[in-house]
Amino acid sequence: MNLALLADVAAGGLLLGGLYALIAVGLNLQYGLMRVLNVAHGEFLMLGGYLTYLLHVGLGMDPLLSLVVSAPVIFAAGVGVHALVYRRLLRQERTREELEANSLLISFGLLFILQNGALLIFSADIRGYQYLDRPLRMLGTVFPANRVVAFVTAAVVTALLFVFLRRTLTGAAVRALMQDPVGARLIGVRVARVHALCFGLGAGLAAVSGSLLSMLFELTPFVGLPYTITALVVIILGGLGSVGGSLLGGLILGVVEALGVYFTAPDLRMVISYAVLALVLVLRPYGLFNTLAHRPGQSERA
Amino acid sequence: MGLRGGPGRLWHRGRRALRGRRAWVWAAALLAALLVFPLVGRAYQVALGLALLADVALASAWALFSGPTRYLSLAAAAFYGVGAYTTALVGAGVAWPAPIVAGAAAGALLSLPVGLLALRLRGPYFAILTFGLSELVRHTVIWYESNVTGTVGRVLVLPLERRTLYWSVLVIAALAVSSAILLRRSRWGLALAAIGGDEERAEVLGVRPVGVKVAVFALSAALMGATGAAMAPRWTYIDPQVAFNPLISFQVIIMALLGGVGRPAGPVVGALVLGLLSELFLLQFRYAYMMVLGTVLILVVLGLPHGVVGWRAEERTEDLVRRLRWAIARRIPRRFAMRRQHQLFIGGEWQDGPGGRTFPDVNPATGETFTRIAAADAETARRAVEAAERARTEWGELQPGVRAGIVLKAAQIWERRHEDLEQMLTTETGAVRAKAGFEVGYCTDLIRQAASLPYQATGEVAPSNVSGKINYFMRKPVGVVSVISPWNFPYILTLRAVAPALALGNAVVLKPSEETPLAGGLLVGEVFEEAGVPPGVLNVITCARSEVQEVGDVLVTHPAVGVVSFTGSTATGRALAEKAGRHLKRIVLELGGKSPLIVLEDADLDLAVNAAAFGGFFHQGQICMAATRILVEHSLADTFASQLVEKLGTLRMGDPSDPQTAIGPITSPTQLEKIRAHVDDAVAKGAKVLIGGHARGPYFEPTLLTGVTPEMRCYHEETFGPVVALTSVKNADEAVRLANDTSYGLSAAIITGDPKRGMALAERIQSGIVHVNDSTVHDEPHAPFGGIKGSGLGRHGGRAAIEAFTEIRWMSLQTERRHYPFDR
Repeated sequence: MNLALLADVAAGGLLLGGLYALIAVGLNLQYGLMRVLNVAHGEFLMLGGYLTYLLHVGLGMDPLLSLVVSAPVIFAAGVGVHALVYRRLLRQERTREELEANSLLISFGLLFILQNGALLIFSADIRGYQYLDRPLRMLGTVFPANRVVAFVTAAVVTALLFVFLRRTLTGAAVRALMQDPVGARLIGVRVARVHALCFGLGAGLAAVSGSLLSMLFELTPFVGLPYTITALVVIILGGLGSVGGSLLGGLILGVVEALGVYFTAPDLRMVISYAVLALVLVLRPYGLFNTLAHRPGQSERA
Repeated sequence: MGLRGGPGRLWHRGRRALRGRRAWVWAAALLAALLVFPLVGRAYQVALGLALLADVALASAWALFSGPTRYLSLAAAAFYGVGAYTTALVGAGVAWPAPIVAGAAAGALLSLPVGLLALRLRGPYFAILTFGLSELVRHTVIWYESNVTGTVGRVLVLPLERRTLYWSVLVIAALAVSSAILLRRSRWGLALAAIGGDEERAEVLGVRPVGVKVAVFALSAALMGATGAAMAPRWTYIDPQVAFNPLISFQVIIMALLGGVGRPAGPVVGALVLGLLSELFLLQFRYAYMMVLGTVLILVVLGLPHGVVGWRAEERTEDLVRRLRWAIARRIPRRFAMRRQHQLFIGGEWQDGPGGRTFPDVNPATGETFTRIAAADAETARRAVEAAERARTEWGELQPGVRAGIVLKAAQIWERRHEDLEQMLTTETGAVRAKAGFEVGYCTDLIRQAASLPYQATGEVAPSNVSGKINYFMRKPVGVVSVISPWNFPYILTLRAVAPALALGNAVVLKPSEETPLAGGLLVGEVFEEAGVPPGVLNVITCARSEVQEVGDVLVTHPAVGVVSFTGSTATGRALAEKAGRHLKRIVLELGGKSPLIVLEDADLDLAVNAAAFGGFFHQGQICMAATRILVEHSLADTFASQLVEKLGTLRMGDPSDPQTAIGPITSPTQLEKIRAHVDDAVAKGAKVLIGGHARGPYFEPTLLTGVTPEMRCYHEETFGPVVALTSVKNADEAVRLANDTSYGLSAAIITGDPKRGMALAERIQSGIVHVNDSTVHDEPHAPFGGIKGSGLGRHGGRAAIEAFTEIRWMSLQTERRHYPFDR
């Protein structure tokens, strides 16, 4: 067993894991706040990727710079979707389980709309471009430069998100709403507004990850769902609703996947992904680190 | 009206015959059309029908499990795919229907690990895990195919006619739909619905969720597997990407939800609509169609939570608890139910009897013990009275509007629950459907009437002989009211005391008869509990016959009790009244009767016969105001007798749950024995039996006697059964004399063509109630109901209830300085 090679593989997985974490954090923000499990998350990612692709290929904009465009655009789209659909759903007085089930169905509907819209516009052809496709020697091993850039960007964005949540008043409102919806409402948090903001943020973060992923891999309108699944695995690993947990979960999944594929076969990637998902849901359904009260099977009012 | 005769009448009859069966006619026509269709349809149409039927089968099978439980399964694709693959593997080797069975088995087999792993989770976790497992299966198959066989997918050639496929899928679809229909009303369906409503509560109430869920999940998966197996021969090449396509799962969900999962028809409608749309538009406008599909899904979830079929009949979620309770008590078999007995209701809590003792509750028609009831003792009764004592002050001080609101709510709940209330009456007392329907409907009005009482408890402001004094005579609740109710009309005779007493601000301790602990007590407790009566304001204690006396003693003698309301036999009433007298308690008694029905020679004979049949034999004569003595003027006597005998001959005796039945069983064996003794005694002493006279199992034939003399027991004593004495009298005076020759005096009736004369005779009859030109059996919620002589003391109903359940207090206010004799 070549230990150095193993470390290489693990480090590669870790770099990808950073991106997974970014994707998952956005999804988890939405879930933690609204109990809305947005399966169309990957579609926002796909749209972000296509935006960057268009800006880079069409206008010659630097992909990294295109984040400045793609993130706000998809953020706005997320806010719009919230206003059109989720606000209505959240207004209906339902049990939490019903809300979760219904939001899941709605996001499947969104997935259909966005994916097939993208198919109509971009067709099913594979698109891609070359960006920073050169080796970078670091810490004694070699990494593709674009992966490093993507990882660093993802880390920066995640850090910014944490600063936002920890240090700003709005961030405090978000956290308050996550901890105790009723209490937050009582002290005057404007719930609908914070929800809109966070849904937008989630979509925006997905767009950033999409833009970053478009530097590494090719794009098709179908890339969304696998990333959604990945994000689901990550947030279930880290615990639904726990933003910090997703970060760790993302890194762990990146490494596990890389090692898994290394030890078996590349075409087993999806099998491994789903197997990890199933395993985690069966063994630790409320997350590896989550000791808090939220456990599935409890019925309470949303 | 043009319906008198001829074709109009025929048309009317035809419509009546079809009403309620229309659904079956439609179903039969549809089935016939489906069977003929492949013989006459073109190949394309048959293929389209095949696809639609498969959609129906899949959507119904999905809704079978996920509908009632609200477990959103995303694994339909896996079960469908595994079925299809089974055909690909075994199809060539065996005869045709065998692959379908194998596919069903494969689906069920796959559902076991999926179900056992995923069904421990709820909400989105379950959905995600089923999706994950389904995808895991798909990718594993793809990986296996590409690595082991080298190509993804395999060739599948089954030389089958399209018609064969069509009929196979038709059978599967029919199976899926009929299992949905059967499941809906069965115990398992109710258990599933309970799980969907509140799994933890269902478990507490005795449903075993794991067994029920896994079994139905497997059934649903088997049906999907069978569909996959039957549809596979359409392909010549089976590709796992197509057979296991997750889109199948989504489409199935959208179909079922679009139609609505509340009824079996929902998924069928959804599948037909969406299947047809897919067939028409999917290939042509592929992506745009999928976008529309997504939009439809969102709109359905937001705007049509119960689907197209449930659009009008939305199921109220609050009904679920009721259905669940009902299911536990009546339909879910013993082995499911942990709660095997009904508990006492004391201080707002349902609790076991002392030492967990119980007594049986017996269905008189079958003789079977259908449930067990907690048995209280004297100590329990004391606790109940004390709970009421604690609760009375706060309840009595509530604003009348609030109390009226709660009682009105109880009326609503009563109306909503009428079906299971009627059912319980039939089960517990052997009441025929007509009697049960009448009694439950009457009680809705009764409770509504009681809701008007809080505002009617008015007093007076009276002048005073002392200057500057204002006298107030105010009505105040008495505090704690004990209600002891009988078994013959358990709902009415319980509620006519309980509802007004509560409405007027009293706390109540209710002890129903040991024959009707549920109808006379615990169900009433449930209804008022749901209506929001505060803890302790209504307490229900049930006890076995051996404890009746000591429990009854506590309810009368406990110092906290203000008023006792008792309905039952004269002997018991007398004993209770003695005790009440010793303890200076007010008591309202409604006791037995020997009510006469007088038929004068100018009477409308038809009316007289019907009034006599109803008055004497409704609810097998087990009514306090039953017309047990019929006094007919002699000129009419023979015709009347023969017509009444003929009428009684047409009354059907038997299973009380059959709507055609008029005469049900006698409620208790003791009662049956007493009736038999009375009739045998009368016959031995020379009475003549015109019809009936025998017991048949738990039933007693409607019996008409003549020649009943004062030596016979049934002349003086209350028989409380379907036994009526017919006497021919010389004239009206003799009729009145005989009518008054009894120690009872509850109700009476006079049938005559001359209303004035009837009213004049009514004045002379000694009874609390007289009805002219009606039967003796009649009651209204606001009427002062009660008897004189041995039939009781005080009145129930309307203003009489205010008298009975309030205390009038004199309070005065001296507004200027008063001079006393001691003043200087």
